[in-house]
Amino acid sequence: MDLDQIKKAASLEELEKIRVSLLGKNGIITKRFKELKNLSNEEKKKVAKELNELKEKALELISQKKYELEEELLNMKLKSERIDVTLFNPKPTGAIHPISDTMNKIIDFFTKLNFSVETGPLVEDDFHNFEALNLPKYHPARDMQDTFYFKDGTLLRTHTSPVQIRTMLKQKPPIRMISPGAVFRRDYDLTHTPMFHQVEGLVVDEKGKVSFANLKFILESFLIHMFGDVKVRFRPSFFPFTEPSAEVDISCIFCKGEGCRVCSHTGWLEVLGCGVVDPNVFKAVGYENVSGYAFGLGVERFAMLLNRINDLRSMYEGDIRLMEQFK
Amino acid sequence: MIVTRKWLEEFIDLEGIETDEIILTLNRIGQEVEGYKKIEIPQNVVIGEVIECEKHPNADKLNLCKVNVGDEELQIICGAINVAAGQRVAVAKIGAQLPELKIKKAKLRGVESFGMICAAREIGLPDFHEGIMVLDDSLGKLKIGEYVGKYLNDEIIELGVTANRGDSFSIYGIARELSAGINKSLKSLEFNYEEMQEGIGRVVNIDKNELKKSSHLLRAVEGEFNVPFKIEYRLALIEEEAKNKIDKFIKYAMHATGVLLTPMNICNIELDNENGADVVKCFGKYYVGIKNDIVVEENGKYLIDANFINPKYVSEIVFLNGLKTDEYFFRASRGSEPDLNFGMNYLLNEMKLPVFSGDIDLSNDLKPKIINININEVKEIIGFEIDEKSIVEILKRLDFEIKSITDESLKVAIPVFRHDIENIQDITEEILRIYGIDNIPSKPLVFEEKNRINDNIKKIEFLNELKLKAVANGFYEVIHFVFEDKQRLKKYGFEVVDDNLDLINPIANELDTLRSTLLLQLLDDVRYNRANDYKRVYLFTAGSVYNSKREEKEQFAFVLNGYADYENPINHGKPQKVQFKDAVDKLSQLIGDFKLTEGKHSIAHPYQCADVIKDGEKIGVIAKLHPKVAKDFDIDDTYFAEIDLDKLDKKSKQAKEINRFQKVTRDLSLVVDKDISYKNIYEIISNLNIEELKDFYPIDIFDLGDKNSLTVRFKLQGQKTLQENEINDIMEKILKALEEKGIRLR
Ligand SMILES: [Zn+2]
Repeated sequence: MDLDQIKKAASLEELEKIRVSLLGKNGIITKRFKELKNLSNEEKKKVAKELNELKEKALELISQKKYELEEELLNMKLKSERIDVTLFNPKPTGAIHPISDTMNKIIDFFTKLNFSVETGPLVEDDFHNFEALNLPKYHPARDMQDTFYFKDGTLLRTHTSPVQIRTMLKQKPPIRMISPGAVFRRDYDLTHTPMFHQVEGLVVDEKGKVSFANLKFILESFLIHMFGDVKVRFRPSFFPFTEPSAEVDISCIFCKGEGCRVCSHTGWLEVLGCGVVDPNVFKAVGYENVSGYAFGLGVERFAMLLNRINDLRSMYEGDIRLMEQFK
Repeated sequence: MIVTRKWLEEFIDLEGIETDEIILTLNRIGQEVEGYKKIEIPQNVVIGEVIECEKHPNADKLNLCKVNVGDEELQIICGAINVAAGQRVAVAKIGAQLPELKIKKAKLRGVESFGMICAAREIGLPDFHEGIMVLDDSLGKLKIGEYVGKYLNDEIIELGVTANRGDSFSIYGIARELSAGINKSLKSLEFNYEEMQEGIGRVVNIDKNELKKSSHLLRAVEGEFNVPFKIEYRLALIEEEAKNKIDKFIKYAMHATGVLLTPMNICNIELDNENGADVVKCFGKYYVGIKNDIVVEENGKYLIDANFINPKYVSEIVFLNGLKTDEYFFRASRGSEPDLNFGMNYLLNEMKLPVFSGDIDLSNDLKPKIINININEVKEIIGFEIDEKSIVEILKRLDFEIKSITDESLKVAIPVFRHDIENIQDITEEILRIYGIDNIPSKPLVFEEKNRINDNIKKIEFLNELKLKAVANGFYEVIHFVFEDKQRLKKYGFEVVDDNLDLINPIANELDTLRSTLLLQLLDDVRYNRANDYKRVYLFTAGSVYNSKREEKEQFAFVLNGYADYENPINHGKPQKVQFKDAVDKLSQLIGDFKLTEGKHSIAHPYQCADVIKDGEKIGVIAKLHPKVAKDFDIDDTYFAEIDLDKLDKKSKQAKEINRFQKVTRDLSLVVDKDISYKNIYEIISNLNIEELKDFYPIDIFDLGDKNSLTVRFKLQGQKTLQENEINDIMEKILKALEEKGIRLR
């Protein structure tokens, strides 16, 4: 009996033919089983055993060959389905604007420390934007902020500080808040856009509770959170609504404080303004026996530093060439 | 405010103190250094004396000079018209490397030249004179042959003096700050000038004196001005321009001392008060501390008025009367130096002209403010205890006078030049800045907590979620100014802010109003990016818009333009263009489910425009851009959506029990009139309120000539497995309802 032909089968069809020729109704092995009845009992036993073994063997070989042939067939099919996967490198599009992204990071820091978020209108009045912030009409510091005015005497807010006033008038201390949003100054050149974004913070509690040292603590933590391993420097400065006031610098993130073009070779980058709330501001909202600190920052400035954007105006040009770098 | 190191040294001894340390100190005490520049004359540029000067034998416009440079005499050819024998000049010797050239031996028209007589510009200085630079002894007695830098080298420090610190708008003011910062006293200055026998009363009469608010000190001088090199040079360094000789002296002395100085010719003056402003009249008017319109003729006799007016008062007068101002107001409104004698003497000392004896003194004595300081309050404001002894020491350094002292408090007199100090917080700032913020340890705030997660935070989070979905759908976020071009808004049929509520002082014509839509700016961006070869422009933005009453609301908008996919081998580099369905799909990915009804919009294609309806309310619009508008913007097919953010549903979704019985699908192909929208069919079927009908939607539409064939797919599911006859009953019911409206099965 030649079982080798099973191994030589070239296709599943051929294998099936062989199977039929061996084990089919008229197959060789089937026939021989049928012939068993002609044999003596003793012989019958012996031959039957041989035949069973042969059948087992044949079935096993066929099953094995079938597996091999199927496997081969599948492999061929898979091979025929080969594609050049390297043709399909992705081209993702879509990105959050760096101003939004930076704003979110800032809001995130303060809300996680349980500051509330307060908002207010962009069109403001003189009282909330200036007067209540210790900026009387004739104050020379008003020159610092060239203002957009409307015909009915209202104006576009020049900072987010009016939200502090609105919140203080609406709520009672203790207050702990930030106010993010768009602000406006009448200035349009290489380093100024007529609209930009600020985040301001305000903390108010009983007299004697909130100090400059507390302000230092929160801003140092914040700046290290935003910029990583930087040095933080406070310089005394002036804002009408805080006293004492300070400007806050970080060591230049580009040159690590060595001095470069971005930091005008000073090794420092100015990033924040802050101070202890001026008593005149509390007076304007009718608060007595309180203490507080406030701070404010420009979101564009942070975005430019964090994302290495050189041109302020490019952020307002809807330019995909800029945006696609933030995918 | 520009100061130079050498000028500062007139007032304070800085020997042994590096400029770096000065800069550090100024920053530390709150005088922000915004710029620093070193003025360094190139080596081999020396003081020379022109001994002879003749015309060049072969060139009319050139001079042949003999110049003594100490160790030798050089033959130098010079083209300057002002060169003359006897002058002391800056000579660049052979080998000197000037900013723009290296000096070599030269031959000009056959005559050799061994150096160059320099103009300021040629040795890296500001360009402030004609011809060559002629030196004198005003910056130190000149020594022939000496390196010019010994006299002219200087360091320029530019300060951002804050608006409250009028006392710091002078060299003297900054020297005074530095003196407190490095704890070193100011020099005591001596002023010299020649006084004549003749008294001021012989030449000046005051015809009328109605002054109310200002102080004046008047003196008179006689003679012809000779402006020394020092003044010309330093005015150039501080970038000041002067009208004439006397103006140069005045500007110089005002910058040095901070005292307001007004020059006029000898005249009988009238001192008046007009609408609250003190006025000096003499060949024009000087509104004290506001504006100077007095014309000064250089006729040899002059009257100088050193004056002072309360800064708050003058600011109010200007504001209330809307007066025009000049640089006098800049100083006066911030608080000019009230020490009139100091300013006057400094000026007379520089002018070096004979002075009429005596003065006319019309001063109101300034009384120092007295403030009580509670030491504990200072500690509470700073959050750190600075001992009383240190506080006293700091205040003395700042010229505060300690009137009385106890363990808990101090009574101090504020120096009259510090107009900004009004209360204990102001004084605390003074203590803090001199003590040094760096020396104050940071301290966490102890605070009573409560829940501060308010609706604003939720709104911000909701918007961010929306933005992130847009980004995941391939959109770039863009941000624009809230300004628009009013003409353009009108042209495209958008609402505009009422004229009487609009901007007075827009920054540009095309930004002259508040926007009422986000769309036009997005279309600008489509054009911009298409021009930059982007073939698939998906942009979104969120922000405030305004209606005619200038009420603010927040909107969200996007645009889709160009390809629906990027170019790749599957689409053979020719992706399909975006279609209405793409825009709808994107919108639903962002804001979830909504319904569309046919709508109208001023810049939309009239037959591809839909209102977006959510929970029965219109929340926005989605449409194809009108081809005419697209043409205006020079772009092709564009789709847009604009949505009211406030109307988006932020409620939690409510779940129903999951139905686990088998769902059945049936399709119906219908013949419908072309002017019937799917919305009609949708309503007919919805109105049947069939409980088992879970969903139905169109899956195919094609043209049958005068009618359309529309195939609708139905999803049925009951509270048990539906039997064939039950399904047929439902489909019959639907068909019957449609047939009643003339819609039949195909
Ligand atoms: Zn740097």
